[in-house]
Amino acid sequence: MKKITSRLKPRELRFRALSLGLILLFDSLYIINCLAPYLGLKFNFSQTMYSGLLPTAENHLFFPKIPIFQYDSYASITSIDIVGSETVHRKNFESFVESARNSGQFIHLNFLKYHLDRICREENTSIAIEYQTYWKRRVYHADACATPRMRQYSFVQLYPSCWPTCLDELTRWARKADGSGTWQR
Amino acid sequence: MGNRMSGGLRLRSFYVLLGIGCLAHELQFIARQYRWTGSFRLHLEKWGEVSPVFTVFPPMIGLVVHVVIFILALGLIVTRRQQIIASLLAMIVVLSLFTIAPPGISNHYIVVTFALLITATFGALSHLAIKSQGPGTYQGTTEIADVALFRALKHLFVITYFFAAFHKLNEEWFDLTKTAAREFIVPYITPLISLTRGNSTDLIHATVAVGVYATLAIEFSLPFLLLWRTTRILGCLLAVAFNVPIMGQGVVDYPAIVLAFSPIFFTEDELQSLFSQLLSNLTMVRLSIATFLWMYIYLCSPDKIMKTTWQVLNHTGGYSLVAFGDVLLRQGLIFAWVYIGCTFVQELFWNVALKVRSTHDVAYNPNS
Repeated sequence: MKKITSRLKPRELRFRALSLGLILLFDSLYIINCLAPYLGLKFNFSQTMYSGLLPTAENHLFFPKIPIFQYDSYASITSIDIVGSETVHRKNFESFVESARNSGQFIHLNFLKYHLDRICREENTSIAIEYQTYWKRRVYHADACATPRMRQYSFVQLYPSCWPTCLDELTRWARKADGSGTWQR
Repeated sequence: MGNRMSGGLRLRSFYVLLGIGCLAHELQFIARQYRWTGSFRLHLEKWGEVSPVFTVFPPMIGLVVHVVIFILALGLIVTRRQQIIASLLAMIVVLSLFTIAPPGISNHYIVVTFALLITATFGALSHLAIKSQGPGTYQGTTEIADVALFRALKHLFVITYFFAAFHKLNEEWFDLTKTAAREFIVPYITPLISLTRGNSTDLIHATVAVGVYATLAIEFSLPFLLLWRTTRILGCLLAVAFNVPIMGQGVVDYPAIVLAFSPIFFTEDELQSLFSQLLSNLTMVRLSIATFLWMYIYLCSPDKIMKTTWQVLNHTGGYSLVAFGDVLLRQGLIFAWVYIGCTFVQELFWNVALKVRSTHDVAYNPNS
């Protein structure tokens, strides 16, 4: 780059500045992507593979959590009561919640909201739900279907659906999603 | 635009290896969905029941995206117009981010996405320079675009390794009973433990402890080795060698990226020399010996324990040591490339072909 700089024309200098700007842009975006767990923005695709870092990124030895965003919201469902819907999806979801509760898994709120929304699409359905967030806050909704924010979800998964992982359970669920039975073995 | 960018052999090698990585990724995906449902469409539909990912696009879009990625990846390997194909692939890969099944977008996939976006951006920049300045006057600007492209790709790779190490500075990584390093280390030392009379738990802990700290040391040193001109080849080799045990556990995606990025850290002359030496040593005899040993190891080993044992032998140099022993003595660099190349191909085959066959009997049956 030094050799090039010495014989650059003005147009080439502008071009070089543009190139450097683009490099900085890509670097910055990628660094933010990698720092995202500590900002409470996202955990997936942040190069945390096999690291043992918790989705809430609070077990790092020296880098502090800077919760600018709060998408790292996990919850443990203490009770759920679905009235109205009788679909296979509802049954599978209830089985999943039960399994997560028994194995002490936290469910990500985005994942929870996705399924609540799906169940709520059935007419005359109401869901009373109580959960405790990872940060020990108790939340109760008498009718989650009537609470818009409990039905708003992101379609890109920024965090693992469960913690500890529930990929095996989700796999079994997906296999039985055609209504051939509940997903639990 | 074509191959006008003067990245030459380095860029072509990068594209070819990236294309192989993308093909491996797609083949693995096909294998996974095949042993699941036997139907691509059913696979996508069923995940859509569980995950919010697929609600944006209907499954047919997901199918088309995967087919296009497969075709473009093939194009990266076999055609000369890699820059254009890489730009198209960048667009389709970004689209595919919204059609990915749980557990969501993977780490290696985002590296590929960034790499493709970088190549597409600087390719477009180079194209813009040519268009705006007319024939014969664009060399300066295209040269700048080339230098910037390689710099951006190097940064991407270096930042990836830095954060791979940085995230590991947590309590769980250093806990010898929980650390993810166990997954990679224990299968390799298990056959050896049976040969010793010592306490197996102590031996496992000691080995895992070495693995935990060695991994951190390697991953933290790699960014610096790769950025420093005199140590970049060493860094490159270290990165490739470090990924061999990971391949041994059937994880091909990340090592494929490491392989793809390797040529970027060489100069054109170094890479040319490497390929010349490699090709001049690639005789039928060597290939036959390597193929025979590989087939023996993976197809004829009688049981799982033997397979693990043979994996250990394989990954410490096994067949390559025999087939390319003299090359190893003369030129360590060539050995590394041949060894890694062969390992990659065999793992690819192992993952796609054999796993499909062996797991087909437990594949999902809608009537069960």
